[in-house]
Amino acid sequence: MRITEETMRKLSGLVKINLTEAESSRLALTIEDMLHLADKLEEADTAGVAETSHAVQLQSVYREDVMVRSPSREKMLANAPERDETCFITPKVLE
Amino acid sequence: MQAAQEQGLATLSLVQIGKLLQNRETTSSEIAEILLDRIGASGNNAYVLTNEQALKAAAISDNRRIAGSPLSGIDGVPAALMDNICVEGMRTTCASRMLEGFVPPYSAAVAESLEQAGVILLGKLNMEEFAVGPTLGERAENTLFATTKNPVDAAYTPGSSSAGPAAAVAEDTAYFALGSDVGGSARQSAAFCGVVGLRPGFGRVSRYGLVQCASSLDQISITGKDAADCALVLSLIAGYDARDPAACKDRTPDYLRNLMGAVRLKELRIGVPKEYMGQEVGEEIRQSVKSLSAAMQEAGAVVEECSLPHTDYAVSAYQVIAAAEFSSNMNRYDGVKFGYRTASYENYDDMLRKTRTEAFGEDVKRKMLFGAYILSQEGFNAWFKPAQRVRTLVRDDFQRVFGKYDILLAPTSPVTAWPVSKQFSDPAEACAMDLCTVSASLAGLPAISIPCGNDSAGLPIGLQLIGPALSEDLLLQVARGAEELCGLV
Repeated sequence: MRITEETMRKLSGLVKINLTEAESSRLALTIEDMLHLADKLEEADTAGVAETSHAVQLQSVYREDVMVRSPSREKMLANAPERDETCFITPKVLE
Repeated sequence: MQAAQEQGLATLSLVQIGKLLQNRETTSSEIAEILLDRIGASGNNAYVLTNEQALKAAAISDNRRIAGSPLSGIDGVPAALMDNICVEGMRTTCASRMLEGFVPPYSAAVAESLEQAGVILLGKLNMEEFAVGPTLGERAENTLFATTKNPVDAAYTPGSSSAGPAAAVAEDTAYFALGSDVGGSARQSAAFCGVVGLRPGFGRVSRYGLVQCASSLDQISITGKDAADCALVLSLIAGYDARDPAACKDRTPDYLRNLMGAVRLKELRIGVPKEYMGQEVGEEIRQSVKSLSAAMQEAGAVVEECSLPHTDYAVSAYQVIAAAEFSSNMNRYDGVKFGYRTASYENYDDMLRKTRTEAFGEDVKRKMLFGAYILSQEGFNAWFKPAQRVRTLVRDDFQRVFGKYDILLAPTSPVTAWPVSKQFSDPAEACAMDLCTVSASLAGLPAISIPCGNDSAGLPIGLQLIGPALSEDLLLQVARGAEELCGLV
């Protein structure tokens, strides 16, 4: 098993999701299965092959230097779980 | 009599209903009301929200027609969007508790295009949570809404994450629908529900305002009743948009006009990849491909077997890349700017953890965890980089065969819709369902699924056509020709 309890603790910390012991065990098994599927990649002869991150070559895009209207601050704040007149409010980040 | 007339109007194609509107033989108000009634009476859960302003918008459209100033040929036609496409002021949830109350402050580029054409938005359509797709032995469901049923037979699956658009078009509650296709969900759902699903090539349609799932794979999809309908819609939504960094600047043809010309099958070279016709593909589906191949040959096309040798690795590469990108994209849900936030917490970290734990379903969590592992130092070298190299090989396979063939013909799915009660016990078996669709997604190619008869259980069989990059014009023309050969138009 590559996905140990310790690995699951580390992963849940990375994605910031709490897992019960039962969830962790269940998900570890299925992630192990997914890795098994991914192991198929080892069989492909990829020596000297370049990596493709996008199917279409992305190019640096410069937009026309014209003014465009953006959603108002009020609209952008309207979905915030907590806010004041002009800002999003978060719990304190630094102790 | 009246019910039959209403049924008749609902079952028309987009092109047909557009002509009736242009000839003033019906009104937008009439057809919007008929479709809204059908949505109310349907038990297929295709819709998750109906637009309260739809009838008002239809009346305004009718006034434009009376005044002789319609916005487009299909001004007033009702359609729907999957619930991961933002519409300003209209709740957009991605079928997740995380976005249960999210009301976008702006509209997606495609929603803007439809509005400018006068299309009436009837509502938002069901999907799997964040279009996550199946990761393992069960098809993912969502945390907010009841599962979509297949209008052909409710005992069978309507497909994966794009079930809502396919079900809505199949049950005649929308003349067309827009959704998204990551690894093939729009094509597979269309195949399972007996309608047409088009994935335009990467860059052809702006994804601005589409909630991101896997950024290098996401594409807006069109679900329609036939290839001509898809061509008409593609002409409306294709084109350059600086707000999507992947958008291409190529000229957008008039797809529908070009489609209506004679399809010259005689001059076509069509390849049938042998890797898509293996033992895992059902016999009746293989037979359908062979029948259409024979009909195309009879019509003058050259149809030959070809090879895409790295197909065997494409499903694995897709799973790795999609999970990595998905995991990265989901980090934006932090309980601060928008979306759900847990009720009680001790500090920022506790808030973030509780928020995601409470709001995401298990399939989303699984894919985030898997993706995080892939992006870890160990996973990045062991799986992510090899997956990206395999993506190069898959793309090169296509480039090679498109040096010899104009279009590829293949099944859309190795199977027809399976019973909803089916549980996959093996991840390889679940992922093998994507065998025929993921390669075109990895290579960014346009592909379309068209219905081509039914199997012995009466379930629709979908056949897929794949074209070179940005070849939607030819792809749609061949799809139209294939529909004629299948006796569909």
